[in-house]
Amino acid sequence: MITALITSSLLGLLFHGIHRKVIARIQMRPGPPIWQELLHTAKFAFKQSWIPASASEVHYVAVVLLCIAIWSGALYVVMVGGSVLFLFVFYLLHKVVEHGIGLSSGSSYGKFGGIRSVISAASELPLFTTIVVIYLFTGTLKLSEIITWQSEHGMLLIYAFPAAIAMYLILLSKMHYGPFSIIESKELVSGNITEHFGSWRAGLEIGFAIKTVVLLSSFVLLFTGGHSWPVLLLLMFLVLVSLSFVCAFTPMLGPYDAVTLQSLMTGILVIYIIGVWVFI
Amino acid sequence: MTAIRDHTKKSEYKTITFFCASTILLSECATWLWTLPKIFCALITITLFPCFVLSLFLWLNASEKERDIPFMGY
Repeated sequence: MITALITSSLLGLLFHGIHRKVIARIQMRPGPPIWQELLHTAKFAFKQSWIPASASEVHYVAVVLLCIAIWSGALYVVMVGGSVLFLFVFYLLHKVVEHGIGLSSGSSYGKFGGIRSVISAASELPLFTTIVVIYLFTGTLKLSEIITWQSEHGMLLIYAFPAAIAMYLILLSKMHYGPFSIIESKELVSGNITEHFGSWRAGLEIGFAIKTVVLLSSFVLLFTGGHSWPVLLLLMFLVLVSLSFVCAFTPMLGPYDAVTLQSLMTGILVIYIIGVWVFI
Repeated sequence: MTAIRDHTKKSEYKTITFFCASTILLSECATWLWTLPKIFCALITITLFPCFVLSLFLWLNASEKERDIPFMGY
């Protein structure tokens, strides 16, 4: 478990670096080296750290611990092929973390980021509809059994393509510099994470790195089935690069536009679910 | 006075780091030896890993020094 956590932290940070590099190259910039996020986290770990006077001390530290803990738990669920409902729960808890990071600091920028996190709660709905569609096709919510079902019937990506798009939107909403990254947009400095610096930011970076690995691996496993480690990593990499392309080409949406688009996607999926329910 | 307080804090962070790391490693070893179910090992790791990460970073940071570690270049 600890080996997986350390590996995922390093891999996730490397993925974040690749994400930045791809975006930069598409935008005709040289961009940072792909290991920049590893250096970034190491730099934060060595920086002086204190708790701002305006912050709620316990809340300020607890959200960092919670961020790492929930994604460590989610990684365990993916590793043992547990229920995807747990992934949904961890994803919802991450919303609490995002909101808590912003509110705990006492900074106006952080608070605005935290509030935007709440109004973008619509981004959770596509995940719920994805889970319903997967259950309607496979009759199970256990990741290991979904993988077995795909080895017998073929990839869910083909059977439930709209659900895959919905989950892709979820991944997109959690990527840095994406069209839905309204909680950390630059008009709010760094949004909800503005006042978390030094060791606290390094801790958050570790949590976010594990989150990226969990989301990418669960997407690949849910929609393309089980693979050997090299193939799984390659597919995760390809999904990441495609997300980077979208992030590079799409401007950041306004908060209300982001919520409207995510709600619209959920509405389309609900119609799709009714169709699947009637015809399967 | 500040330096003494920082030093005390740093030694506390060091203790927490070693406690978390040793507990996680012991639970991993116990799982390998089939004396501890995997789920308990996972619970211990998930609970203590965040504490380990933060205490390690706080132990390593430059709070005992006057200034931050300077920029070293790329």
